[in-house]
Amino acid sequence: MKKLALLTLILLLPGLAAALTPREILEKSDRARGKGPGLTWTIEMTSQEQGSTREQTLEVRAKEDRALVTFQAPARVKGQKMLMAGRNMWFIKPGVSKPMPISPRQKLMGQAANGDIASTNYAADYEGKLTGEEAVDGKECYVLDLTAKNTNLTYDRIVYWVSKERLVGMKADFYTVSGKKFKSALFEYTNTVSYGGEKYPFVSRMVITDALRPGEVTTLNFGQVSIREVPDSTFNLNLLVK
Amino acid sequence: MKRLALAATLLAGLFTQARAEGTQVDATVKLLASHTVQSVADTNANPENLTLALPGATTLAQARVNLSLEWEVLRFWAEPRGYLTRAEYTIRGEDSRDTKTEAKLLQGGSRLSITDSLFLSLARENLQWGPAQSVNPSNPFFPQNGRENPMREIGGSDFARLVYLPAPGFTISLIANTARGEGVQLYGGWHPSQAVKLDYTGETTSAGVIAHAGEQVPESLGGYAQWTVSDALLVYGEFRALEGSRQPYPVADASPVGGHFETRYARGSHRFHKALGGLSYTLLSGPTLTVEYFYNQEGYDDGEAELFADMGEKAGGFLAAGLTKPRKVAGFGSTPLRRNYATAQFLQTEIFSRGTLLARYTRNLDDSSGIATFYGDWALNDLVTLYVNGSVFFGGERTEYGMALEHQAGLGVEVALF
Repeated sequence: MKKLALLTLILLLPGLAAALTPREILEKSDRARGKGPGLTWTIEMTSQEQGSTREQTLEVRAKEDRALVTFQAPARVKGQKMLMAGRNMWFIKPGVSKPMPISPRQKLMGQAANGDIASTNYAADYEGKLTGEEAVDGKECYVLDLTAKNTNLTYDRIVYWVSKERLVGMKADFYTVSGKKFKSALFEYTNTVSYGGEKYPFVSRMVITDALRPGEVTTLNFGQVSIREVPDSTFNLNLLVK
Repeated sequence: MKRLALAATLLAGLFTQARAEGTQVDATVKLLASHTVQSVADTNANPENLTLALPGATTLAQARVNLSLEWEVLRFWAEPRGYLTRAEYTIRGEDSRDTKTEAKLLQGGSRLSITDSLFLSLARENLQWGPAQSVNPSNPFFPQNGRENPMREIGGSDFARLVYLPAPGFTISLIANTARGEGVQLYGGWHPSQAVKLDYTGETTSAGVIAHAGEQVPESLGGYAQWTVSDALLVYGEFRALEGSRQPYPVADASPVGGHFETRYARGSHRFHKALGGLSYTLLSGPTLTVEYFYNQEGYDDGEAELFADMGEKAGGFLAAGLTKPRKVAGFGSTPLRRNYATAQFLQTEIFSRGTLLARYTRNLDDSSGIATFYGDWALNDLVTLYVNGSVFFGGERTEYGMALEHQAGLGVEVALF
C-alpha cells in the first residue's frame, strides 16, 4: 500500500510542479502584450462602423502604468495625443495647447481606447480566478475571471482565455462597473521580440468587437515592436505639449 | 513678411537636409476657412457701435503649418501661421469693410535634452496647465485657455524654461517669461516675470504649485489639484493668491463721464484670491457633464460695476453727440469683470467616430448675465472637417455679457493636406 502511494505521488509530482497560479498565467500573458521596461509600437487600426471603413495609424509608447498614444494618420487627426499615467489621463489636440483631463470612461469613447487594450496590465491590476478550460480557435485555454483590484480601472471585470501551450491571451471579454459587456477582443501572436536574452511571442493582431454597438469591429495590426527603455520624460505633461 | 518667408525657406532647407540624414522630421499643413456673423448690441455704452466698433461679419482664411525636427538631443519646432481677414462693420448706420493679411510665428522654439531628466527650452509657447475647463486661475501667464472654441488658437509668449525630473512623478520647472510674443495683451502692458512650478502625478491624482513674481508684476502663489475618483468622475480645483492687482478699477470723480480708471492696488498693497472648484462626470452613454464655480476676488463689487456702467453710458452719449472720439485701451476686458461665476458644460466626442459637440453656459452670478457657447465638428472624410460655433449673450446692457453682443455664429471648414 505504501509503495502504491509513493508511486502515485512520484507520478503526480511533475503535474503538480507544472500547475501555474492565475497570477503566473497573467504575468506570462502580459509579457506578450507589452509588459516590460518599455516598448514602442506602431498600430494600423481599421474600424468598420455603420457600413463604412476607417483607417488610423497610432504610435504607442508604454512603460509600466504609463502610455502615450500618438495619432499619426489620417491627416485630420495627426498629432493628437492621449497620455495615460496611472488613472490620470489627458487628451492633447494640436492647436489647443491646453491638455484636457479626461476620465477613464471618456477614454473608452475613443479609438485610442482600442490601442490601449493591448497594454493593459492584468497581473498587477486584476485578481484572477481560474474558472475552467475551453478551446479557442482549436487551442486549449485556461479561462480566468479577472476582477479589478480597485474601482479606478477602466474595466471592472475581464473574462480572459489564455493558451495553455503558449501562455498568451487568445480572447478577452471586457465588462464595465455596471456589469455590461463593453468589448470583446481576439488576439494573434505572430510577432517575436527579444529581451533579456530571451525570445517570446508578441501580439501581432487584435480584433475588437463593440458589444454595445453591434456591427462595429476594429482590427489592430501591430507593426514592428521594439522593447527598450522608454525615458520617463516621454510621459511628462510639461514636456509633452512642446 | 519677407523675414518670415526667409525663415520658412531656411527651415524647409534644414528639414530637407535633416530628413536626408535620417533624423526625425514631421510636418502638418492645414487650411481653414470660416465665416462668422454677429449681432452687435445697440446700447447706451455702445450707441450704433461707435464705442466698440465690433465687426458684424468676419471672413477668415488661415494656413496652419506645424513643423518639428528631432536631432540627437535637440528638438526644434515651429508653428507659422498666415491669415487673410475680411471684416465688415456697421457704425452709425454706415457700412465699411477692412481686409488685411498677417503672418506670424504663433509658437516655436527649441529644446535641449541635457540629460534624460534635465531639459532646457527657449521658445514661444502657449503654456497651459490646470484641470479646469472655463478658466485656469493657477496660470499667471495666460488668463484664457481657448477651450470654449477648439478651433481658435491662442498665440504663445516667449519663455525660457528649465525642466527637471528629480523622481518619477515629480517635475520642477524654472520659467522666465522674456517677451510678450504673440501672447494676450494684458491691461498695463507686458512685463517680464519668472515662476517656479512643482508638479506631481500619482496613481489617481495630479497637483502643482506655482510661485510667480516680477519687478512690475504682483507676486502670486497658485496651484491646482485633480483627482480621478472613479472611472467616470473627476474632481478638481485651482487657486491663486496675488499680492496686488493690475486690474483697472473705476474711481468716481467730477469729470464729464463721472470717473476714471486706476490700477490702485499696487504690488503688495492688498491680497486677492481666485479659486475654482469643479467636477466632470462621464455617462455610460458617452457625454461628459462638467460643472465649475469660479471666485474672482479681483473683480468689481456691485458699486464698482454700477460706476463702470454709468461711465460707459455717459461716454457713449458723448460719442453719439460727436463730442469725442473712441479710444481703444489694450488689454481692457481680457479678464473676468466680476467676482462669482458658474459654468456648466456638455461634451460629447466620437459621435459615430466623426463628430464632436460642446455646449457650455457661463453665468455671472453677480449681475445674472450669461453666455451660452456651442461648438460642433464633423469629419466628412480623412482630410476634411466641417465645424460650427456660436454664442448667445444674455443680460441687460449694463451687465458683463449683455453689454456688447447679442449673438454670434460661425461656420468653417478645415482641410488637412498632410
